[in-house]
Amino acid sequence: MEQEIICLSCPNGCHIQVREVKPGTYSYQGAKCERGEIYAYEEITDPKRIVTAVIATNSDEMPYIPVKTDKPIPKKFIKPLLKKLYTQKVDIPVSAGKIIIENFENTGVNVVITRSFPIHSS
Amino acid sequence: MQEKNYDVIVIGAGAAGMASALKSAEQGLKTAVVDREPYLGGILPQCIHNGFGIHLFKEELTGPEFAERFIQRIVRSDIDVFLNTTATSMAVHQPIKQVNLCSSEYGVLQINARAIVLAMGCRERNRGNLGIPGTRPAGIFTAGLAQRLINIDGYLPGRRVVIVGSGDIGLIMARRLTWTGAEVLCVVEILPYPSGLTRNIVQCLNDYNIPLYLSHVVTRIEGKDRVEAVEITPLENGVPNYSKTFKVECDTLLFSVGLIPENELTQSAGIKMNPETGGPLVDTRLMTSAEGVFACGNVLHVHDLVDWVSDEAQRCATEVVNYLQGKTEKVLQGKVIVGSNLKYVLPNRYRLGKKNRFSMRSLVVRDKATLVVRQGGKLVRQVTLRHVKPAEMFHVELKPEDLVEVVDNGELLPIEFSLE
Repeated sequence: MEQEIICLSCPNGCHIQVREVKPGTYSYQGAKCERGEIYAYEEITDPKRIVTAVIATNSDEMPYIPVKTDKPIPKKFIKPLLKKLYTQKVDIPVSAGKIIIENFENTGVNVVITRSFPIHSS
Repeated sequence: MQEKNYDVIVIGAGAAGMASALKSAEQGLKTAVVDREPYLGGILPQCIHNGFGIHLFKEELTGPEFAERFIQRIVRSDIDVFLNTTATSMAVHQPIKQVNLCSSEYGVLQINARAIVLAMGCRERNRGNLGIPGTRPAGIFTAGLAQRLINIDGYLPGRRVVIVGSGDIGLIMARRLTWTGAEVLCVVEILPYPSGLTRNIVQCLNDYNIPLYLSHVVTRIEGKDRVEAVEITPLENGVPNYSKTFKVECDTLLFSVGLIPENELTQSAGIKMNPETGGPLVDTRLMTSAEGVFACGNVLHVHDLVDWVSDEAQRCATEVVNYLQGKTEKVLQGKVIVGSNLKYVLPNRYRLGKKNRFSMRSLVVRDKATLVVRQGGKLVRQVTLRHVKPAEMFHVELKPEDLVEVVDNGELLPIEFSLE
Protein backbone atom coordinates (compact mmCIF):
# COMPACT_ATOMS: atom_id res chain seq x y z
CA MET A 1 0.00 0.00 0.00
CA GLU A 2 1.37 3.41 -0.94
CA GLN A 3 0.27 6.70 0.59
CA GLU A 4 1.29 10.30 0.05
CA ILE A 5 1.97 12.43 3.12
CA ILE A 6 2.68 16.16 2.99
CA CYS A 7 5.21 16.91 5.70
CA LEU A 8 4.32 19.84 7.97
CA SER A 9 7.55 19.93 9.95
CA CYS A 10 8.79 22.99 8.04
CA PRO A 11 7.62 25.29 5.22
CA ASN A 12 9.22 23.05 2.55
CA GLY A 13 6.15 20.84 2.65
CA CYS A 14 7.77 17.75 1.12
CA HIS A 15 5.43 15.30 -0.58
CA ILE A 16 6.53 11.96 0.82
CA GLN A 17 5.55 8.62 -0.74
CA VAL A 18 5.26 6.04 2.02
CA ARG A 19 5.15 2.29 1.29
CA GLU A 20 4.61 -0.48 3.77
CA VAL A 21 7.31 -2.98 2.79
CA LYS A 22 6.29 -5.46 5.49
CA PRO A 23 3.82 -5.04 8.37
CA GLY A 24 5.10 -2.19 10.57
CA THR A 25 8.05 -1.33 8.33
CA TYR A 26 7.89 1.54 5.86
CA SER A 27 9.98 3.00 3.08
CA TYR A 28 9.94 6.71 2.30
CA GLN A 29 10.54 8.65 -0.88
CA GLY A 30 10.60 12.42 -1.37
CA ALA A 31 11.58 13.60 2.12
CA LYS A 32 14.40 16.15 2.03
CA CYS A 33 15.39 15.39 5.65
CA GLU A 34 14.83 12.74 8.29
CA ARG A 35 12.28 14.82 10.14
CA GLY A 36 10.04 14.13 7.17
CA GLU A 37 10.32 10.37 7.71
CA ILE A 38 9.50 10.73 11.40
CA TYR A 39 6.52 12.91 10.56
CA ALA A 40 5.30 10.50 7.87
CA TYR A 41 5.64 7.53 10.23
CA GLU A 42 3.48 9.26 12.87
CA GLU A 43 0.93 10.37 10.28
CA ILE A 44 0.57 6.79 9.03
CA THR A 45 0.54 5.00 12.35
CA ASP A 46 -1.09 7.43 14.78
CA PRO A 47 -1.99 10.90 13.44
CA LYS A 48 -2.60 13.50 16.14
CA ARG A 49 -4.06 17.01 16.15
CA ILE A 50 -4.54 19.90 18.55
CA VAL A 51 -8.27 20.49 19.02
CA THR A 52 -9.71 23.92 19.81
CA ALA A 53 -13.36 24.76 20.50
CA VAL A 54 -15.59 26.95 22.65
CA ILE A 55 -17.68 25.80 25.60
CA ALA A 56 -20.70 27.39 27.21
CA THR A 57 -20.47 29.45 30.41
CA ASN A 58 -22.99 30.58 33.01
CA SER A 59 -22.46 34.25 32.06
CA ASP A 60 -24.48 36.41 29.66
CA GLU A 61 -21.56 38.78 29.27
CA MET A 62 -19.24 36.04 27.95
CA PRO A 63 -21.56 33.19 26.89
CA TYR A 64 -18.76 31.05 25.39
CA ILE A 65 -15.12 30.64 26.35
CA PRO A 66 -12.38 29.09 24.17
CA VAL A 67 -10.52 25.88 25.08
CA LYS A 68 -7.76 23.71 23.60
CA THR A 69 -6.16 20.34 24.13
CA ASP A 70 -2.82 20.83 25.89
CA LYS A 71 -1.16 18.46 23.43
CA PRO A 72 -2.11 16.81 20.14
CA ILE A 73 -4.76 14.13 20.55
CA PRO A 74 -5.07 11.02 18.30
CA LYS A 75 -7.46 11.84 15.47
CA LYS A 76 -9.94 9.09 16.37
CA PHE A 77 -10.63 10.86 19.68
CA ILE A 78 -11.48 14.23 18.12
CA LYS A 79 -15.20 13.53 17.58
CA PRO A 80 -15.90 12.06 21.03
CA LEU A 81 -13.93 14.89 22.62
CA LEU A 82 -15.93 17.56 20.79
CA LYS A 83 -19.16 15.80 21.77
CA LYS A 84 -18.15 15.91 25.40
CA LEU A 85 -17.05 19.56 25.19
CA TYR A 86 -20.40 20.65 23.80
CA THR A 87 -22.17 19.24 26.87
CA GLN A 88 -19.87 21.00 29.35
CA LYS A 89 -20.51 24.27 31.12
CA VAL A 90 -17.91 26.39 32.89
CA ASP A 91 -18.47 28.89 35.67
CA ILE A 92 -17.28 32.50 35.31
CA PRO A 93 -14.89 33.91 36.59
CA VAL A 94 -12.33 31.67 34.97
CA SER A 95 -8.62 31.95 34.18
CA ALA A 96 -6.68 30.79 31.14
CA GLY A 97 -4.80 27.57 31.88
CA LYS A 98 -7.51 26.03 34.05
CA ILE A 99 -7.98 22.33 33.25
CA ILE A 100 -11.60 21.41 32.60
CA ILE A 101 -11.15 17.85 31.34
CA GLU A 102 -8.29 15.77 32.70
CA ASN A 103 -6.71 12.84 30.87
CA PHE A 104 -9.51 12.42 28.31
CA GLU A 105 -10.20 8.71 27.69
CA ASN A 106 -6.74 7.87 29.09
CA THR A 107 -5.00 9.64 26.22
CA GLY A 108 -2.96 11.76 28.64
CA VAL A 109 -4.49 14.82 27.01
CA ASN A 110 -6.09 17.59 29.08
CA VAL A 111 -8.45 20.29 27.90
CA VAL A 112 -7.60 23.77 29.17
CA ILE A 113 -9.28 27.18 29.08
CA THR A 114 -7.49 29.68 26.80
CA ARG A 115 -9.13 32.97 27.78
CA SER A 116 -9.52 34.61 31.19
CA PHE A 117 -12.77 36.33 32.06
CA PRO A 118 -12.93 38.82 33.58
CA ILE A 119 -9.36 39.70 32.84
CA HIS A 120 -8.51 40.87 36.41
CA SER A 121 -9.25 37.43 37.83
CA SER A 122 -5.80 36.06 37.05
CA MET B 1 -17.32 67.56 25.57
CA GLN B 2 -14.36 66.08 27.44
CA GLU B 3 -10.83 66.84 26.35
CA LYS B 4 -7.77 64.81 27.35
CA ASN B 5 -4.07 65.22 26.67
CA TYR B 6 -1.45 62.55 26.01
CA ASP B 7 1.98 62.11 24.48
CA VAL B 8 0.72 59.31 22.23
CA ILE B 9 -2.70 58.06 21.23
CA VAL B 10 -2.86 54.59 19.69
CA ILE B 11 -5.96 53.96 17.57
CA GLY B 12 -6.91 50.28 17.71
CA ALA B 13 -6.19 47.78 20.51
CA GLY B 14 -5.44 44.67 18.48
CA ALA B 15 -2.07 42.99 18.17
CA ALA B 16 -0.42 46.09 16.70
CA GLY B 17 -2.05 48.66 19.00
CA MET B 18 -1.33 46.71 22.19
CA ALA B 19 2.33 46.06 21.36
CA SER B 20 2.86 49.68 20.33
CA ALA B 21 1.10 51.16 23.38
CA LEU B 22 3.03 48.93 25.78
CA LYS B 23 6.37 49.87 24.28
CA SER B 24 5.71 53.62 24.34
CA ALA B 25 4.36 53.48 27.90
CA GLU B 26 7.45 51.51 28.97
CA GLN B 27 9.57 54.35 27.64
CA GLY B 28 7.72 56.79 29.88
CA LEU B 29 5.31 58.30 27.36
CA LYS B 30 1.83 59.12 28.56
CA THR B 31 -0.16 56.76 26.35
CA ALA B 32 -3.84 56.26 25.50
CA VAL B 33 -5.23 53.37 23.47
CA VAL B 34 -8.74 53.42 22.01
CA ASP B 35 -10.82 50.64 20.46
CA ARG B 36 -14.39 50.46 19.19
CA GLU B 37 -14.91 46.93 20.59
CA PRO B 38 -15.78 46.27 24.25
CA TYR B 39 -12.60 44.20 24.77
CA LEU B 40 -8.88 44.42 24.09
CA GLY B 41 -7.21 42.13 21.56
CA GLY B 42 -8.83 43.04 18.24
CA ILE B 43 -9.38 39.98 16.07
CA LEU B 44 -7.28 37.66 18.29
CA PRO B 45 -9.97 36.57 20.81
CA GLN B 46 -12.05 35.02 18.01
CA CYS B 47 -9.06 33.18 16.48
CA ILE B 48 -9.31 30.27 18.92
CA HIS B 49 -7.11 27.94 16.84
CA ASN B 50 -3.43 27.50 17.64
CA GLY B 51 -0.34 28.54 15.70
CA PHE B 52 0.26 32.03 17.06
CA GLY B 53 3.44 33.22 18.73
CA ILE B 54 5.94 30.71 17.34
CA HIS B 55 8.44 33.48 16.50
CA LEU B 56 7.67 35.89 19.35
CA PHE B 57 7.19 33.53 22.29
CA LYS B 58 8.81 30.36 20.84
CA GLU B 59 5.66 28.38 21.58
CA GLU B 60 2.38 27.69 19.85
CA LEU B 61 -0.47 29.66 21.36
CA THR B 62 -4.10 30.18 20.45
CA GLY B 63 -5.29 33.68 19.52
CA PRO B 64 -6.88 34.40 22.92
CA GLU B 65 -3.70 33.24 24.71
CA PHE B 66 -1.50 35.38 22.49
CA ALA B 67 -3.73 38.40 23.15
CA GLU B 68 -3.76 37.76 26.89
CA ARG B 69 0.03 37.98 27.12
CA PHE B 70 -0.37 41.62 26.06
CA ILE B 71 -3.70 42.35 27.78
CA GLN B 72 -2.36 41.32 31.21
CA ARG B 73 0.54 43.74 30.80
CA ILE B 74 -1.72 46.58 29.62
CA VAL B 75 -4.06 46.14 32.58
CA ARG B 76 -1.09 46.46 34.93
CA SER B 77 0.46 49.44 33.08
CA ASP B 78 -0.21 53.19 33.20
CA ILE B 79 -1.87 53.10 29.77
CA ASP B 80 -5.34 54.65 29.67
CA VAL B 81 -7.66 52.31 27.77
CA PHE B 82 -10.83 53.61 26.10
CA LEU B 83 -13.08 50.74 24.99
CA ASN B 84 -16.39 51.03 23.08
CA THR B 85 -14.78 54.16 21.66
CA THR B 86 -14.64 54.96 17.95
CA ALA B 87 -12.28 57.48 16.38
CA THR B 88 -14.33 59.50 13.90
CA SER B 89 -11.84 62.07 12.62
CA MET B 90 -8.35 63.49 13.17
CA ALA B 91 -6.58 66.78 12.65
CA VAL B 92 -2.96 65.84 11.97
CA HIS B 93 -1.18 68.72 10.25
CA GLN B 94 -0.26 70.54 13.46
CA PRO B 95 2.23 69.91 16.31
CA ILE B 96 -0.49 68.89 18.78
CA LYS B 97 -2.74 66.46 16.94
CA GLN B 98 -6.38 66.07 17.69
CA VAL B 99 -8.47 62.89 17.53
CA ASN B 100 -12.26 63.12 17.80
CA LEU B 101 -13.95 60.11 19.32
CA CYS B 102 -17.38 58.78 20.17
CA SER B 103 -17.69 56.65 23.27
CA SER B 104 -20.53 54.97 25.11
CA GLU B 105 -18.83 55.94 28.37
CA TYR B 106 -17.55 59.46 27.64
CA GLY B 107 -19.90 60.58 24.87
CA VAL B 108 -18.13 62.85 22.43
CA LEU B 109 -14.48 62.99 23.41
CA GLN B 110 -11.42 64.81 22.13
CA ILE B 111 -7.92 63.49 22.70
CA ASN B 112 -4.93 65.71 21.99
CA ALA B 113 -1.54 64.08 21.53
CA ARG B 114 1.94 64.86 20.24
CA ALA B 115 1.95 61.66 18.19
CA ILE B 116 -0.65 59.29 16.77
CA VAL B 117 -0.14 55.60 16.05
CA LEU B 118 -2.57 54.19 13.49
CA ALA B 119 -3.26 50.54 14.35
CA MET B 120 -6.80 50.01 13.06
CA GLY B 121 -6.08 46.72 11.34
CA CYS B 122 -7.98 45.54 8.29
CA ARG B 123 -11.34 44.24 7.23
CA GLU B 124 -12.47 41.47 4.92
CA ARG B 125 -13.25 41.74 1.24
CA ASN B 126 -16.84 40.62 0.65
CA ARG B 127 -19.31 39.63 -2.04
CA GLY B 128 -19.56 43.23 -3.23
CA ASN B 129 -15.82 43.30 -3.93
CA LEU B 130 -16.17 40.23 -6.18
CA GLY B 131 -19.41 41.18 -7.90
CA ILE B 132 -20.98 37.70 -8.01
CA PRO B 133 -24.35 37.73 -9.83
CA GLY B 134 -27.53 36.26 -8.37
CA THR B 135 -30.06 36.96 -5.66
CA ARG B 136 -29.32 38.54 -2.29
CA PRO B 137 -30.54 35.98 0.25
CA ALA B 138 -29.50 35.47 3.88
CA GLY B 139 -26.66 33.04 4.53
CA ILE B 140 -23.78 34.94 2.94
CA PHE B 141 -20.97 35.78 5.36
CA THR B 142 -17.33 36.71 5.32
CA ALA B 143 -15.24 33.97 6.94
CA GLY B 144 -14.18 36.23 9.81
CA LEU B 145 -17.77 37.16 10.60
CA ALA B 146 -18.72 33.48 10.70
CA GLN B 147 -15.72 32.92 12.97
CA ARG B 148 -16.95 35.61 15.34
CA LEU B 149 -20.49 34.21 15.34
CA ILE B 150 -19.28 30.73 16.28
CA ASN B 151 -16.38 31.48 18.60
CA ILE B 152 -17.58 34.58 20.46
CA ASP B 153 -21.37 34.61 20.20
CA GLY B 154 -21.95 30.85 19.94
CA TYR B 155 -24.16 30.74 16.84
CA LEU B 156 -23.83 28.29 13.95
CA PRO B 157 -24.10 30.32 10.73
CA GLY B 158 -25.35 27.37 8.63
CA ARG B 159 -25.39 23.62 8.04
CA ARG B 160 -24.31 23.08 4.43
CA VAL B 161 -21.50 25.42 3.57
CA VAL B 162 -19.53 26.42 0.47
CA ILE B 163 -16.38 28.49 1.06
CA VAL B 164 -15.09 30.91 -1.58
CA GLY B 165 -11.34 31.53 -1.42
CA SER B 166 -8.63 29.36 0.08
CA GLY B 167 -7.11 32.00 2.34
CA ASP B 168 -6.13 30.84 5.81
CA ILE B 169 -9.26 32.16 7.53
CA GLY B 170 -11.42 30.23 5.07
CA LEU B 171 -9.47 27.02 5.62
CA ILE B 172 -9.54 27.39 9.40
CA MET B 173 -13.29 27.96 9.19
CA ALA B 174 -13.76 24.84 7.07
CA ARG B 175 -12.38 22.79 9.96
CA ARG B 176 -14.15 24.82 12.62
CA LEU B 177 -17.53 24.38 10.90
CA THR B 178 -16.89 20.65 10.50
CA TRP B 179 -16.15 20.43 14.22
CA THR B 180 -19.43 22.15 15.06
CA GLY B 181 -21.37 19.57 13.03
CA ALA B 182 -21.87 21.55 9.82
CA GLU B 183 -21.02 20.04 6.47
CA VAL B 184 -18.44 21.90 4.37
CA LEU B 185 -19.14 20.89 0.77
CA CYS B 186 -16.16 22.46 -0.98
CA VAL B 187 -13.69 25.32 -1.15
CA VAL B 188 -13.59 27.28 -4.42
CA GLU B 189 -10.34 29.06 -5.36
CA ILE B 190 -9.94 31.29 -8.43
CA LEU B 191 -6.15 30.83 -8.58
CA PRO B 192 -4.44 27.66 -9.82
CA TYR B 193 -2.75 27.23 -6.40
CA PRO B 194 -4.07 27.53 -2.82
CA SER B 195 -3.74 30.92 -1.09
CA GLY B 196 -3.37 29.49 2.41
CA LEU B 197 -0.52 27.75 4.20
CA THR B 198 0.14 24.10 3.31
CA ARG B 199 -0.42 23.04 6.92
CA ASN B 200 -3.93 24.46 6.76
CA ILE B 201 -4.69 22.67 3.49
CA VAL B 202 -3.64 19.39 5.10
CA GLN B 203 -5.14 19.82 8.57
CA CYS B 204 -8.32 21.68 7.63
CA LEU B 205 -9.32 20.22 4.24
CA ASN B 206 -7.54 16.91 3.59
CA ASP B 207 -8.25 15.62 7.12
CA TYR B 208 -11.98 15.94 6.46
CA ASN B 209 -11.97 15.10 2.73
CA ILE B 210 -13.21 18.57 1.80
CA PRO B 211 -12.68 19.11 -1.94
CA LEU B 212 -10.66 22.14 -3.07
CA TYR B 213 -11.55 23.35 -6.57
CA LEU B 214 -8.58 25.31 -7.92
CA SER B 215 -9.08 27.62 -10.93
CA HIS B 216 -12.82 27.71 -10.22
CA VAL B 217 -15.20 30.58 -9.48
CA VAL B 218 -18.71 30.92 -8.07
CA THR B 219 -20.68 32.38 -10.96
CA ARG B 220 -24.17 32.55 -9.45
CA ILE B 221 -25.90 32.58 -6.07
CA GLU B 222 -29.45 31.18 -5.88
CA GLY B 223 -32.12 31.38 -3.18
CA LYS B 224 -34.97 33.67 -2.22
CA ASP B 225 -34.87 34.16 1.54
CA ARG B 226 -31.90 31.90 2.26
CA VAL B 227 -29.06 30.68 0.04
CA GLU B 228 -30.26 27.51 -1.73
CA ALA B 229 -27.46 26.74 -4.18
CA VAL B 230 -24.42 28.18 -5.93
CA GLU B 231 -23.15 27.64 -9.44
CA ILE B 232 -19.44 26.87 -9.78
CA THR B 233 -17.57 27.25 -13.06
CA PRO B 234 -14.03 26.16 -13.98
CA LEU B 235 -11.64 28.72 -15.45
CA GLU B 236 -9.87 27.70 -18.62
CA ASN B 237 -7.09 30.03 -19.78
CA GLY B 238 -8.46 32.60 -17.37
CA VAL B 239 -12.00 32.51 -18.79
CA PRO B 240 -15.00 30.76 -17.21
CA ASN B 241 -16.12 27.76 -19.27
CA TYR B 242 -19.87 27.83 -18.67
CA SER B 243 -20.44 24.52 -20.45
CA LYS B 244 -18.79 22.87 -17.43
CA THR B 245 -20.74 24.81 -14.77
CA PHE B 246 -22.11 22.65 -11.96
CA LYS B 247 -24.47 23.39 -9.10
CA VAL B 248 -23.92 22.74 -5.38
CA GLU B 249 -26.91 22.88 -3.05
CA CYS B 250 -26.05 24.67 0.16
CA ASP B 251 -27.53 27.06 2.71
CA THR B 252 -24.45 29.12 3.49
CA LEU B 253 -21.67 30.81 1.55
CA LEU B 254 -18.49 32.08 3.23
CA PHE B 255 -15.99 34.44 1.63
CA SER B 256 -12.30 34.27 2.46
CA VAL B 257 -11.03 36.43 -0.38
CA GLY B 258 -8.49 38.76 1.13
CA LEU B 259 -8.22 41.67 3.51
CA ILE B 260 -8.18 45.43 3.04
CA PRO B 261 -6.39 47.79 5.46
CA GLU B 262 -9.01 49.95 7.14
CA ASN B 263 -7.93 53.47 6.30
CA GLU B 264 -11.01 55.71 5.98
CA LEU B 265 -9.80 57.65 9.02
CA THR B 266 -6.30 57.94 7.54
CA GLN B 267 -7.51 59.11 4.14
CA SER B 268 -10.02 61.62 5.46
CA ALA B 269 -7.17 63.22 7.43
CA GLY B 270 -5.37 63.85 4.12
CA ILE B 271 -2.57 61.30 4.62
CA LYS B 272 -0.96 59.94 1.43
CA MET B 273 -1.73 56.34 0.55
CA ASN B 274 0.15 53.49 -1.14
CA PRO B 275 -2.15 51.90 -3.74
CA GLU B 276 -0.19 48.62 -3.69
CA THR B 277 -0.67 47.93 0.02
CA GLY B 278 -3.89 49.84 0.68
CA GLY B 279 -2.10 51.41 3.64
CA PRO B 280 -0.45 54.81 4.09
CA LEU B 281 2.96 55.57 2.57
CA VAL B 282 5.56 55.48 5.32
CA ASP B 283 9.19 56.47 5.65
CA THR B 284 11.90 54.52 7.41
CA ARG B 285 10.46 55.51 10.81
CA LEU B 286 7.04 54.09 9.81
CA MET B 287 5.89 57.72 9.84
CA THR B 288 3.17 58.67 7.36
CA SER B 289 3.11 61.78 5.19
CA ALA B 290 1.76 63.67 8.23
CA GLU B 291 4.56 64.44 10.66
CA GLY B 292 4.08 62.69 14.00
CA VAL B 293 1.52 60.21 12.65
CA PHE B 294 2.81 56.63 12.50
CA ALA B 295 1.28 53.36 11.28
CA CYS B 296 1.90 49.69 12.03
CA GLY B 297 0.29 46.28 11.66
CA ASN B 298 -2.45 45.39 9.21
CA VAL B 299 -3.55 48.99 8.71
CA LEU B 300 -0.17 49.53 7.04
CA HIS B 301 -0.05 46.28 5.04
CA VAL B 302 -1.75 42.94 5.58
CA HIS B 303 0.48 40.45 7.41
CA ASP B 304 0.29 36.63 7.38
CA LEU B 305 1.58 36.16 10.93
CA VAL B 306 0.63 38.10 14.04
CA ASP B 307 4.21 37.72 15.28
CA TRP B 308 5.36 40.09 12.53
CA VAL B 309 2.60 42.53 13.47
CA SER B 310 3.78 42.72 17.08
CA ASP B 311 7.37 43.07 15.93
CA GLU B 312 6.53 45.91 13.54
CA ALA B 313 4.42 47.65 16.20
CA GLN B 314 7.28 47.58 18.69
CA ARG B 315 9.68 49.03 16.15
CA CYS B 316 7.07 51.67 15.37
CA ALA B 317 6.78 52.62 19.05
CA THR B 318 10.56 52.94 19.32
CA GLU B 319 10.45 55.40 16.42
CA VAL B 320 7.66 57.33 18.13
CA VAL B 321 9.79 57.64 21.26
CA ASN B 322 12.83 58.79 19.27
CA TYR B 323 10.72 61.27 17.34
CA LEU B 324 9.17 62.77 20.48
CA GLN B 325 12.64 63.07 22.01
CA GLY B 326 13.75 64.99 18.91
CA LYS B 327 16.29 62.37 17.86
CA THR B 328 15.14 61.69 14.31
CA GLU B 329 13.59 64.88 13.00
CA LYS B 330 16.07 65.70 10.26
CA VAL B 331 16.99 62.21 9.16
CA LEU B 332 18.29 61.94 5.58
CA GLN B 333 16.29 59.35 3.66
CA GLY B 334 16.37 57.77 0.21
CA LYS B 335 13.57 56.42 -1.93
CA VAL B 336 12.77 52.72 -2.20
CA ILE B 337 11.78 51.56 -5.68
CA VAL B 338 9.78 48.39 -6.29
CA GLY B 339 11.31 46.52 -9.23
CA SER B 340 10.32 43.41 -11.17
CA ASN B 341 8.21 40.58 -9.73
CA LEU B 342 7.47 42.33 -6.43
CA LYS B 343 4.07 43.59 -5.35
CA TYR B 344 5.37 46.00 -2.75
CA VAL B 345 8.30 46.82 -0.49
CA LEU B 346 7.80 48.48 2.85
CA PRO B 347 8.81 50.99 4.24
CA ASN B 348 9.01 53.28 1.23
CA ARG B 349 12.26 54.98 2.36
CA TYR B 350 15.67 53.91 3.69
CA ARG B 351 18.24 55.63 5.86
CA LEU B 352 21.96 55.39 6.51
CA GLY B 353 23.90 54.40 9.60
CA LYS B 354 21.24 52.01 10.88
CA LYS B 355 19.80 48.62 10.02
CA ASN B 356 17.00 48.84 7.46
CA ARG B 357 14.37 46.12 7.70
CA PHE B 358 12.06 45.68 4.72
CA SER B 359 8.91 43.61 4.34
CA MET B 360 7.79 42.59 0.87
CA ARG B 361 5.61 40.32 -1.21
CA SER B 362 6.32 38.53 -4.45
CA LEU B 363 4.02 38.73 -7.47
CA VAL B 364 5.01 35.24 -8.63
CA VAL B 365 5.17 31.66 -7.35
CA ARG B 366 8.70 30.28 -7.67
CA ASP B 367 10.80 27.56 -6.09
CA LYS B 368 14.10 29.37 -6.27
CA ALA B 369 14.42 33.12 -6.60
CA THR B 370 17.07 35.75 -6.04
CA LEU B 371 16.23 39.04 -4.43
CA VAL B 372 18.52 41.75 -5.74
CA VAL B 373 19.00 45.15 -4.13
CA ARG B 374 20.68 47.92 -6.12
CA GLN B 375 21.62 51.40 -5.00
CA GLY B 376 21.79 53.78 -7.95
CA GLY B 377 22.26 50.82 -10.29
CA LYS B 378 25.06 49.23 -8.23
CA LEU B 379 24.44 45.81 -6.65
CA VAL B 380 24.51 46.09 -2.84
CA ARG B 381 22.87 42.88 -1.72
CA GLN B 382 21.72 39.58 -3.13
CA VAL B 383 19.59 37.06 -1.22
CA THR B 384 18.62 33.58 -2.40
CA LEU B 385 15.10 32.60 -1.43
CA ARG B 386 14.08 28.96 -1.39
CA HIS B 387 10.44 29.56 -2.14
CA VAL B 388 8.39 32.68 -2.87
CA LYS B 389 4.66 33.11 -3.37
CA PRO B 390 2.28 36.07 -3.08
CA ALA B 391 0.65 34.59 0.04
CA GLU B 392 3.89 34.63 2.04
CA MET B 393 5.48 37.91 3.08
CA PHE B 394 9.24 37.87 3.51
CA HIS B 395 11.74 40.18 5.14
CA VAL B 396 15.17 41.44 4.18
CA GLU B 397 17.51 43.37 6.41
CA LEU B 398 20.19 45.67 5.00
CA LYS B 399 23.16 46.35 7.22
CA PRO B 400 24.51 49.90 7.59
CA GLU B 401 27.63 48.92 5.58
CA ASP B 402 25.52 47.68 2.64
CA LEU B 403 24.59 51.23 1.67
CA VAL B 404 26.81 54.15 0.75
CA GLU B 405 26.11 57.82 1.21
CA VAL B 406 25.63 59.35 -2.22
CA VAL B 407 23.55 62.50 -2.21
CA ASP B 408 21.90 63.71 -5.37
CA ASN B 409 19.81 66.90 -5.28
CA GLY B 410 19.64 66.81 -1.48
CA GLU B 411 18.35 63.23 -1.45
CA LEU B 412 20.07 59.87 -1.11
CA LEU B 413 20.28 57.72 -4.23
CA PRO B 414 17.22 55.49 -4.53
CA ILE B 415 17.54 51.76 -3.88
CA GLU B 416 15.67 49.26 -6.01
CA PHE B 417 14.43 45.81 -5.01
CA SER B 418 13.70 43.17 -7.63
CA LEU B 419 13.16 39.45 -7.78
CA GLU B 420 15.14 37.66 -10.50
